[in-house]
Amino acid sequence: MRRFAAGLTILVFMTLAGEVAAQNNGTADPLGLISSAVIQPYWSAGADFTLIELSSPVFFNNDSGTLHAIFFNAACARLVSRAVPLTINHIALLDSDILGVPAGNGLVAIARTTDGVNLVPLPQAPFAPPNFDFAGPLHSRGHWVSFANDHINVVDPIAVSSPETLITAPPLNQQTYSPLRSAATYTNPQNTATVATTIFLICPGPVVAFLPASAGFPAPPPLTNTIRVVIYNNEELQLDTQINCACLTAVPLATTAAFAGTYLQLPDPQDFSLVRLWYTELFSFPFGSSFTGYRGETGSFFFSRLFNASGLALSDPPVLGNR
Amino acid sequence: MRKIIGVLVGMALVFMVGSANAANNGTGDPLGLIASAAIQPFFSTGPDDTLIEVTSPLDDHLGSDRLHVIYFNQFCNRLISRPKEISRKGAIVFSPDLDLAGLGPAGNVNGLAAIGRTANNISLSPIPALAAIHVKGFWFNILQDFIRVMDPIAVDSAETGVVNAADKQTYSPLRSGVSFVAPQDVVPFVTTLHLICPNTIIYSEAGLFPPLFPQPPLSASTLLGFLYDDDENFILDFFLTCSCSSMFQLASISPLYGALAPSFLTYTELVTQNPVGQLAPVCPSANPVCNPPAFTGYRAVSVVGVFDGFGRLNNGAAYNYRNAGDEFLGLFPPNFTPGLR
Repeated sequence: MRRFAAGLTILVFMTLAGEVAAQNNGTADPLGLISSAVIQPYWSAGADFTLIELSSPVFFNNDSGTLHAIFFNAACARLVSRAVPLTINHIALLDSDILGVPAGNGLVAIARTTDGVNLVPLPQAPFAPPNFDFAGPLHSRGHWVSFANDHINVVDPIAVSSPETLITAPPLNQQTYSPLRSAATYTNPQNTATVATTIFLICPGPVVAFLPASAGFPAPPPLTNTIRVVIYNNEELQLDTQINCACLTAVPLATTAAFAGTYLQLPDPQDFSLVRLWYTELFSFPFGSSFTGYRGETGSFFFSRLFNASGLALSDPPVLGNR
Repeated sequence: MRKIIGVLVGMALVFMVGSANAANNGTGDPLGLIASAAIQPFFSTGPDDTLIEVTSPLDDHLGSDRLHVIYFNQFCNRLISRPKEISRKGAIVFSPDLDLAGLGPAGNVNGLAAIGRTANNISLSPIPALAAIHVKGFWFNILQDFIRVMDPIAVDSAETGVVNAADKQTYSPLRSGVSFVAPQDVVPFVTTLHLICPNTIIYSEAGLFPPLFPQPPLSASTLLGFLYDDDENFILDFFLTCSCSSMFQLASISPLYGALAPSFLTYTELVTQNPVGQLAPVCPSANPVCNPPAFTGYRAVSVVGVFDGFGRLNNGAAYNYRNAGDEFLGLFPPNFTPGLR
């Protein structure tokens, strides 16, 4: 009996040791399966609208604790919520305009609910302990449509939990809140009358407050409202400044005062690469807090999520492995 | 003592559910820092052109440490290679069209670009983790009026596995399953799938061998497809052959992709194996579920000349796509196993 107990003790400690050594730094692919919750940006001001595409490849999500989408505006103030029941292999397109959400941009938090008001987590797997819910992970992405600017931008979500990433001890040892990281980078050409770059920063602190650990959601990383911006031109530092990030913040590079017109200049004429580009690094402040974002070019209508890294990885010397 | 044993048994069971599988399953974010090498699809036939953007946030890639790009055509046959230099905090953009122009018609191709360093100008050597890079592709077509942004394949996600080597993610996002939603493939909508299945030719010709590089996953060649209408009714299963870089318009896969009214949308899962009914494997083992063939891809939904929506496919393990719930009535509780590629 004592040997049996000792063996079990070692097993538990080995399992826990793996958990302690785990590295949750938000590096999972947000296009993988998502559990706990999804945070999806949307743009529906004016003639713009966003179709949020949900699919449920693994299991049913239509029981009494059905899927529920809570819409927040660009300041992360809660607006309305809607039920989104999905059966297995079912798909849905959510359009905030059709659902009666006030026109504007913002974030949507999608998880389960049992009372129609508060969110509870999507399970890591069907019938996963401790609640053994009749539900499973999802896929999500946004399609931001603008007829005025002639584009459909595909918008990756934030995966609150990535259930296929865990290794030794589910559900604790896995990636959460991907791709919220402490740094991001982007390039852009000179901004002109026809080429205008806008960075869309996502700092979802007030939304994350609706996903409390007390309800079973993973603890969020520290989140930020201030971004340090470091601009390079042909590898030379040009400007070091700060901007605010409040929930969903659009930052037009040509007109934001903090950039002092830097991006309106032609990058180094001594740079003979195919396309002359500005290179910019964004760091969260305070150091170590997290955010994500996207880059859009109005004049050429392409859009993508920013590159990401740990702020410590971009320092000299680089330190890898942090969020 | 019995209470202690009970608690320990409970803890062990809770922690072991779905556990003990290899962590390296291609679930890293390809837009994070990339070490070892990157594999970037490009499309450069006819009016198509691709610009590949590389930035180097951590270190220089100059002189003998410069980057090296090996181009492969859509069959993964090696074409030519080019050196590329980039400084720390620098950004470069290069065009496969320009680099392959000297090949004449043979260079007017779609394909894959493998980006690493080189010691001999022939095969690649790994990009060190402390000199990791960011990579992204921009596919232009002036006639069809689009710019499509393409995520790369990260041979080594540099910021994974730092604390615990078992957490290292390689060859992300090559997985054994993908899924996508598309409108019915009828006028004016055109949906095309661009599937990327790097094969042993590209791994060997680029020199992506262990132990210098991570072990690549098995190459995918035959994919199984499962089509559903937008009321989750199963419609069709089919096979697709993916050979390196393959393109399919949905209507060419089956006319049913355009004949499902009143459904407006379709939902499809593509997998490299169909392990229905199998109990959760404990990996590593000889069970092929533990080491499935892997691939990735992109979906383009267009009204030609009017709008274009392009993105990488959603991904998951084939085991979890096909086994967790589809066999729900025959397998209780339904299986979902983390850690599988």
